[in-house]
Amino acid sequence: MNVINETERILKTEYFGAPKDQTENIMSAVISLASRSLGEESAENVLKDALRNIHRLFDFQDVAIAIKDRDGMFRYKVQLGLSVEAEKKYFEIEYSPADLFDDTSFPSTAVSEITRFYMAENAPYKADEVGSYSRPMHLSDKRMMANDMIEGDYIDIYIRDWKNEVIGYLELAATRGKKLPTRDTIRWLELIATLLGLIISKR
Amino acid sequence: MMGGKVKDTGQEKFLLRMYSSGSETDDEEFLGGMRDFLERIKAPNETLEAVLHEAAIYIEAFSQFKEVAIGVRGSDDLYRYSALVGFTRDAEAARRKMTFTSRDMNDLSIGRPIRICRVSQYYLSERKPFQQGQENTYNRPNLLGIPRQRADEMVEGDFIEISLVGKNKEIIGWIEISGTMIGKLPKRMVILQMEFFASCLSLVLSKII
Repeated sequence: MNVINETERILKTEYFGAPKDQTENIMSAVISLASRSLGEESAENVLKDALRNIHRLFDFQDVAIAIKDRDGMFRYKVQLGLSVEAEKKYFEIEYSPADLFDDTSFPSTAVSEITRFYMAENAPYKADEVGSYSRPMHLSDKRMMANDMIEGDYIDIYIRDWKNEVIGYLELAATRGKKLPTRDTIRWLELIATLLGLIISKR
Repeated sequence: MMGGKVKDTGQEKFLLRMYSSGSETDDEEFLGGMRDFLERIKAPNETLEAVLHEAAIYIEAFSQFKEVAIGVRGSDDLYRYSALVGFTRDAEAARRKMTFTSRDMNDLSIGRPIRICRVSQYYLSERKPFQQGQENTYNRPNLLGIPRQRADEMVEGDFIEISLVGKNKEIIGWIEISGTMIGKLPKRMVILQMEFFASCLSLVLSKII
């Protein structure tokens, strides 16, 4: 085989094909999400699509997206993973912008500009929100290892609009492996949240 | 509200160490850079040209390519290069004079590119993907036409074109990359990252054009 024919063979086989690993899977899903959102997809469909993919591609059992409504209150719009009973309670919850950044009532650790970890030890919920957990009897479980993810832990990643105002957030909890997510996972979810902000808001 | 909440400082230190410190992997750098790019271009006074220039700088930083060009369709429906990074002054000036019609953009008979991925075409130097008189659009025109010695080489005259696609699947622009640092064909991940970036850039352009 001469050189140029071999080059052509490499070019035709090296880059095409099904995703080979988790990173390629995520890239492929986000490309599809971005492409679909260019069309006539409603914001609600974009959020549902994004949430399904996050639930499928990452290790979280419970995932949700909250969006700021016209009255300024944040409410959960879509969720996957909660029991029917917990979902009902969850969708009744509403937060003011002040609640969202209230570190006294909802103690958190900011690991980046847009990501906050809420750890169960700090009871980052209101007393009347206990019913919104799928496994409330486990809320007092002790963390055995620092990298365990236990009931009551959750992560919020802000969705910001073109003016950098927080218009919603991804909420993630309960990894299937019972461990805190990897740094890569957080970086991916931060990128997805950033894209969602660009998609569902106007410039 | 729950009263008397005291943050567990040991756990907080662990989280900050795990997520906010230490060196980053290549993937983390790519993702962090991508998010930084998307945050920067939100600025209200950011022009289309500035967005494309930022995009070209970012591509040059994360990919192995020395030359990056981005073109878009103008209001007159002609396509022109808008951002050029890594080109000689002469090559850049020659490219800035070029215009392409929609037919040109969809004409695959010139240079007979090889489709290598979803929206990426590879143009081989041997297939002369440029018209006579356009040699000055390359950084090293004297090297054009020199046959490659090894199949995995990327030589002068080779380039990759990644389409930027609009909501009706029409081409709204393109990214052109050439000249890998080590003179070899790019790795699979680089092309996938380029396609990923192109899909995000298309999304941004749909909001600002």
